[in-house]
Amino acid sequence: MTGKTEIIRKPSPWPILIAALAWAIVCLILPMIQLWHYLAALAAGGIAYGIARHQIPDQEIEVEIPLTPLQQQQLQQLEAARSALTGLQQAAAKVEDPAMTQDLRKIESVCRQIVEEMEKQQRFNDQARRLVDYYLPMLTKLLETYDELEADPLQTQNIQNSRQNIKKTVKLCAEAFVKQWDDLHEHQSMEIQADSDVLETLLVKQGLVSPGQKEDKA
Amino acid sequence: MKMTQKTAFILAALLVLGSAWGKARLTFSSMQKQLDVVYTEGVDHDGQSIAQDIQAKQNTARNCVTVARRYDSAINASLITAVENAAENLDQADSMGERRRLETKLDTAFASLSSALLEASLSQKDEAYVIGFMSEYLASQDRIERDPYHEKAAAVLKDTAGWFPSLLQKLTASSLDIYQIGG
Repeated sequence: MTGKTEIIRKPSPWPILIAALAWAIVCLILPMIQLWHYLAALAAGGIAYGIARHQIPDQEIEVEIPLTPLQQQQLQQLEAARSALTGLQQAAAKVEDPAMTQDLRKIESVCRQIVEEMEKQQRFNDQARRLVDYYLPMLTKLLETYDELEADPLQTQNIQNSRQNIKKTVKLCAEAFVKQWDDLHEHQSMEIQADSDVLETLLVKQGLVSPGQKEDKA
Repeated sequence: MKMTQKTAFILAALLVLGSAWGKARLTFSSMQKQLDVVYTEGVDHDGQSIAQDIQAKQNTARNCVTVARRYDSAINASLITAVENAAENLDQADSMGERRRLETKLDTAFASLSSALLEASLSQKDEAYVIGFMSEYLASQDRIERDPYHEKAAAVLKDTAGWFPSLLQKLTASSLDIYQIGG
């Protein structure tokens, strides 16, 4: 995604000039008034070009590749996800409650893996995106509020209730995030199962394993 | 400055076209110069050349005119004028074709004048002169026809025959100006 430049290979311009020079040398030698004089010059130029092309390496030029609108959108989403994750990490660092910290670690771990997957696969599952784009900022905001409430010296009943509510929400979020992560791998799990079944069936058909062995495994 | 493919193509095209055009033009020019030298100075640069022989024909024709003027009443004035004009104009010809055309005109005019003189009743001495002029004129013509220039010219014409050399002559604006007996 971030690789906005590409190395392209371009033939060197020197073989063209060398070919032209070879032509010019033949022009110096021959009178250049018959057709065969020109054919000879052409042949000399062609040979010179072939040799020069073989000897002189291609130019390697670094070019900038413009991003497609979709790629631009994906890049923005990824940056937003990274930013949301950083926001969560900062907010989580201020929380002192051990149980809540544990839940936040789970959430952070799931989100980090989702972001890493987004970076690696260049693919954006809608559910995963919603998780980091929408739920994560909301959660971060709640944590910031929690931090403010925790810092309040009075700790009234309402403040304590609000803190409890946030704790519960964080716990629920942790469960939801883990479930979401599991769901994201459901498709992969199904694909692995299908591949395994096909392979086993082939092995049975070719007589490399007995049907009983396959059933035992099942 | 970094050389790009486009720059290289432009430079190569200029080099290819320039070198071919320049060399073809130089070759035609050199051929023409060599022929011109043989025409004016002779193949051995000793002055034995077509130009010298044409000059000799002009001189002989003028001498013949001098004799003819002594017999104004017997010789038609137009015959004398024709020889005079042809000899005069020959000096001013600016191309080989034009020179050859005027030379033929001089040949015809001289033949007519010398025949008229021989038919007229000349003094014995003048008659001998006229016969001598005719012999000199024919000798000059014979030398012109046998001049090595023609071999050189034939070789050049052979080298430049065909559609391709003709096209090149047009492209390089270098038409060969050759003295040809039959031309």
